Amino acid sequence: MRVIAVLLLCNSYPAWSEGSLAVIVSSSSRIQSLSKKHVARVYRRKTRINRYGKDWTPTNMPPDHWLRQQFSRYMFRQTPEDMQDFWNAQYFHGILPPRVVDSEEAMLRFVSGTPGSIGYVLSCHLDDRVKVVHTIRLNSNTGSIASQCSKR
Amino acid sequence: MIKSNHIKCLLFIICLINTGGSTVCADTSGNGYRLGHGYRLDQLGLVFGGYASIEYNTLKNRRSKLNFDDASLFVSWKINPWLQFFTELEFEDAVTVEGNSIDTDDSNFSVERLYLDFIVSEPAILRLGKFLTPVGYWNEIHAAPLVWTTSRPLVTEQPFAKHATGAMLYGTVPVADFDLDYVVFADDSDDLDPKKVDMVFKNAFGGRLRFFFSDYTSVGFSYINFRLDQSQDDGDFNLLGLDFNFRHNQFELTSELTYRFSDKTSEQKALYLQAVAPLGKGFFAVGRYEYFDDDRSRPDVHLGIAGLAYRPIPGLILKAEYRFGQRNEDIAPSGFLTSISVLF
Repeated sequence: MRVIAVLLLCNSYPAWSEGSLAVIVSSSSRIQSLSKKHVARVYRRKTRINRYGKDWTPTNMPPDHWLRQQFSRYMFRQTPEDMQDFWNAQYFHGILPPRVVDSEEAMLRFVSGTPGSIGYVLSCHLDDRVKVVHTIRLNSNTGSIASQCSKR
Repeated sequence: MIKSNHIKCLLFIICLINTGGSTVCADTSGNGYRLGHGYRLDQLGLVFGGYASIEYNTLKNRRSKLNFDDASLFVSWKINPWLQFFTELEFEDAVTVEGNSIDTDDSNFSVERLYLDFIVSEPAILRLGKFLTPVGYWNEIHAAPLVWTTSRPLVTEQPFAKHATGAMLYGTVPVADFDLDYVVFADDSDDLDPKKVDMVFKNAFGGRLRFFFSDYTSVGFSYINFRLDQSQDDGDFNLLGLDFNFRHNQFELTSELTYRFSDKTSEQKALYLQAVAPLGKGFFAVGRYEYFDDDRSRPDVHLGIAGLAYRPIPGLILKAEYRFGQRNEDIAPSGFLTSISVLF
């Protein structure tokens, strides 16, 4: 029975991995993993340097991009639109929201080439330029994720 | 470099004129102008922005007044990863139209904030300069485009000075499963603030803790010990503050209360409770109750505010409210207050 359970878990792993969002840093970064709370603090700009003294550069997809919507709901339990008041208040204190890039390829390029940067892409789009520090399981159905995995 | 910056400034002005400030004028590098996020020059680490507000008030036993209330300019400069400069320069009450007269007598220019932030470590930032006194929820986000009413609750302006000049250590630390924002500060406005307007600390020290119990809920505690820069010697004041904020699905509930006491004068107690509910299409209903009790000067004041706010786009807000109350004639007279504010 236990063997069957383990086999079932192993079989389900690739689907889980494909249906997930990977929070990424450059492969040369010394950061190995981050908790959800830590990633949230970085994206809210409450933590501005990492434990090795590099300044964090959090990077987002555009507000209407489905990955941004998923990331925001998971990380803050709010949509990017709901976060507008928070960012207006931060702006009043001279703190700007994370930088925005237009595509997952742009995210991979920016994160891999910018020390201290952090971003997110679909797990199926990962490559060796970046490493995963946190994984978010997506709620979207398998079909739509598969179609997203076929493009970048 | 200078030529390039001139071109960028020109593009910024053209962008503002062409769009009325309502759309995004940003290039892919992050540079450019966005309403509510200022004009950003990433290569230099500079951001220019600000806010402006116009008020029209009709209050009991007073003449109706149109007032160009606030025009503030922010300049933020990230000098390096560990050092950031910020200033807010404010032009207050620039023009007032009262009855048939237009005057600029009340206008004044002030340095609202001027400080350097040194990022000491991951959870600790040292701030040196003039900053907003970290008491309660409202005082640190008091700008007209960020708050729901034209009038300011008495609890956020009567018991303590709105600014402090000195040093502050602040940051966010994880405690169990929630975040804790902390602030400790020391003020020496007596020696450091050359232009004292309104109520100013002579000197002060204190702190604030704000617990985020969830993504929607926070509770804050504040304490300050201070002396005021006044002619009469009122001695040392102590102020205890408690605040609460809940915000979810555009509903908001906020409350602050303070208790101020001193060794020479009487006690002062104040609170407000404010609720905001979305009505759809950018409209919000706003209600607030306030209580203010200063034993020394007047009997208890009770205030009620019923208002409407309209936010057609983020950063722009139109507000209308009716204020009423008991024994409030001197401190916060009844009547209509309206305003238009923009974060630019």
